Amino acid sequence: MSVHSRIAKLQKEAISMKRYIALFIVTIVALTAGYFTLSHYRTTKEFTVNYENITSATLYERSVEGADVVKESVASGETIRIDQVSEDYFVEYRADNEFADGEADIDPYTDSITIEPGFSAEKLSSLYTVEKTAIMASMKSKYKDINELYEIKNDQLYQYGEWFGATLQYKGDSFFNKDNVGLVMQKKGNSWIVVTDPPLPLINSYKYDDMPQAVAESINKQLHP
Amino acid sequence: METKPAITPRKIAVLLILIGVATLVFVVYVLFSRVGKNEVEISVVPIDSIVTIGDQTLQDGTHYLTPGRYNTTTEREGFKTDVRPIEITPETDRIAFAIRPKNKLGEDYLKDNPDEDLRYEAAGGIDSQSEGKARTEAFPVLKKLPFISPDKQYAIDYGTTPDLDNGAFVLIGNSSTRGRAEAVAWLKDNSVDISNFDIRYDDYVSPLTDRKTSERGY
Repeated sequence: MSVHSRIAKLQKEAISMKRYIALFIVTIVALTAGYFTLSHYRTTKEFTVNYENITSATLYERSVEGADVVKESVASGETIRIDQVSEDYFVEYRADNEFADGEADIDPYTDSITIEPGFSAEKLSSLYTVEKTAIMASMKSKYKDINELYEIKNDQLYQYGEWFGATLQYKGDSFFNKDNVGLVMQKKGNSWIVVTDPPLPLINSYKYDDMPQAVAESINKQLHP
Repeated sequence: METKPAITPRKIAVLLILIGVATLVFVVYVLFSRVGKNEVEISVVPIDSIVTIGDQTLQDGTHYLTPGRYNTTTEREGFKTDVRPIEITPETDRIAFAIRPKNKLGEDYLKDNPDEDLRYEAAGGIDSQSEGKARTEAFPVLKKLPFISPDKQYAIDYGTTPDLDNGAFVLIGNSSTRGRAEAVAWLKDNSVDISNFDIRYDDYVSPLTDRKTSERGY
């Protein structure tokens, strides 16, 4: 074999080798990109936000500094990709006229949330003027000594006006059980029923199946500021 | 005439590249199949029972599971089928499924396999350990209980019950009105969500339902 043809062969082999190396690099890049893309899909999930009576909703993720916006304006029925199991997401919403603004935490094990804001404080206040007499009468018929033993404070309606909550400030003679307590009632049909029987120094929504957590939180904040 | 060698450096290079790519594909596949999943040791008693977690059918051993809530079924011929929901959190690393015999076939199996007795004990240990671990992870305050206030105004302890989702409740006892208020403040200081946790009072008597006892104090 002549020197020229040997050089030509070596050059051909070198080009071919370069192709293989290029192919190897492309494969590595493709696999790495594929791995990260697929990892993203495996560690995240599609989450749907549904709501009514809300004008705007924003999805946040809690962070060390506070909260980061994940999606500024979330439409009802919109699906967003979020981390698979994270307790850090919440939706902050502004409600329509008669409804209350608020926040809703996202359950890390579900794929959707339906937000139904309760009535605004103004609306509940106007409903309370209508219901107050019936509520007080029901309370008095359940606990005949209530006015003698307690002063009723922070009385108000919650949610859509079907929940009532108040704190009872003790003014009786007991030394051992002079705690201020929380009282919650619920409207069933046309009647107001005492849910927290007996009223306790602390209300926890765990004990009462249907009670919205916001009711317990509001009363406990008054009892244990 | 020059003879061409059977194994050229080029062939060796191509082979090495192919082996490299194959290894890489395998590593990527293994890694990918475990992304976002927990390594969970599943103990099953009897050992050859079949466990269905969600839509996966598994046996005793180590498995990679995605955190979430699942319905599970454990079954084996001669044993009572057990159906229960479980929650796999990112921290879950062990789960036990133990089923009991329902007829002679099951009883005979246990007589012939005395080792299963030890496995029942181990499964019970894993169950109670993982329940306790899940509880203290969800409510770290439980690690500090029981607690008695330095001035003996109140005592806080906890109990467990299968009726509750989290399986635990807190009991405030040996307390006066002041002590009960201080106990709630202590719980709040220890990051307890007082509105969403079952907190009970051992010695509070409501003046509204039993006025005499509440005023007498006993």
